[in-house]
Amino acid sequence: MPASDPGENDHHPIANIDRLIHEPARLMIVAYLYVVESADFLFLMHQTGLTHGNLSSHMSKLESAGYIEVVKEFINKKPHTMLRLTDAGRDAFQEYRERMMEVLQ
Amino acid sequence: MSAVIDLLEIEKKAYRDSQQDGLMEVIMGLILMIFGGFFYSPIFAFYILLILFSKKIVESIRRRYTHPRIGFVKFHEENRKDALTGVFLLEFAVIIIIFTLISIFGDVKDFSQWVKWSPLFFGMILVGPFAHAASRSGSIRYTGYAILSVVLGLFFSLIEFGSGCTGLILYLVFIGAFLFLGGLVIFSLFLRKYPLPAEGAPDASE
Repeated sequence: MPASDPGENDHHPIANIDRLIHEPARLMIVAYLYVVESADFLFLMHQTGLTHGNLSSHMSKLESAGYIEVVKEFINKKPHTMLRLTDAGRDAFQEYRERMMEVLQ
Repeated sequence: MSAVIDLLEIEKKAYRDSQQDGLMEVIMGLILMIFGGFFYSPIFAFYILLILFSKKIVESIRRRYTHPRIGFVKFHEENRKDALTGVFLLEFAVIIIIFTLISIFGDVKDFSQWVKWSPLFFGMILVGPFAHAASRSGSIRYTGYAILSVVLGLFFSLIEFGSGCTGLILYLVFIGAFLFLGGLVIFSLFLRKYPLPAEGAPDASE
């Protein structure tokens, strides 16, 4: 059987998958933020089951990519972090879902 | 992977978890109990204030007890037009059902018959908010409340209380007390399940 051309795989839908969203923990975060308007750090920790450190790290990566907006504020002199999916994040997640559908079908 | 992610189920879980403190039951029970208990009293005006401020009261309790324990989530605004259409259709359907029942068992021109069937009328109206909460959360708890409100409404409509709105008042006090006390139990279990960490709620800023 002839070996396939390495460049050929680039045209396969899975080759264009957004790897930033594809990571399971980040996928959970984005999926939760997709269905709500905004949520705070503690709520996402409970929903995703991620540890404080894990969530912080993934949150930073998603924020750097412009997929989520992080608003830090103080409530009763205590720090409070709110997260919201940006339009770019919403579009990226929708595109990711479509590509995964193509791959799985 | 994402293709098999059920976004609706995720949304339902988020909604269910945000409502797990039982405060919705507490405030709804309180409103119904006051409506029934002070039906003939001048304090009834207080009831209007309670309805107007109920959302703010729940928000303020949640800010103090719920959010530091399980966090805060804001859901997308629901379409007001759809909600109003739903309320209108439900009320219309309930009036038709009550009208049919009175036509079968009595005279629709007899006002006392409408009073007699008013517990069932309220019971069916309550199905609206409970069915809405059940569909958003996927929780069987709200379906149970919806069934109970109709069954109790039917029960208090079929019992003869003599005159006046006794059946309706008893119904409202009974279902209100059930929701209020049930909500308090759920709230106390919630506080026990999620004790407040001594160092405060975790946050990304730490």
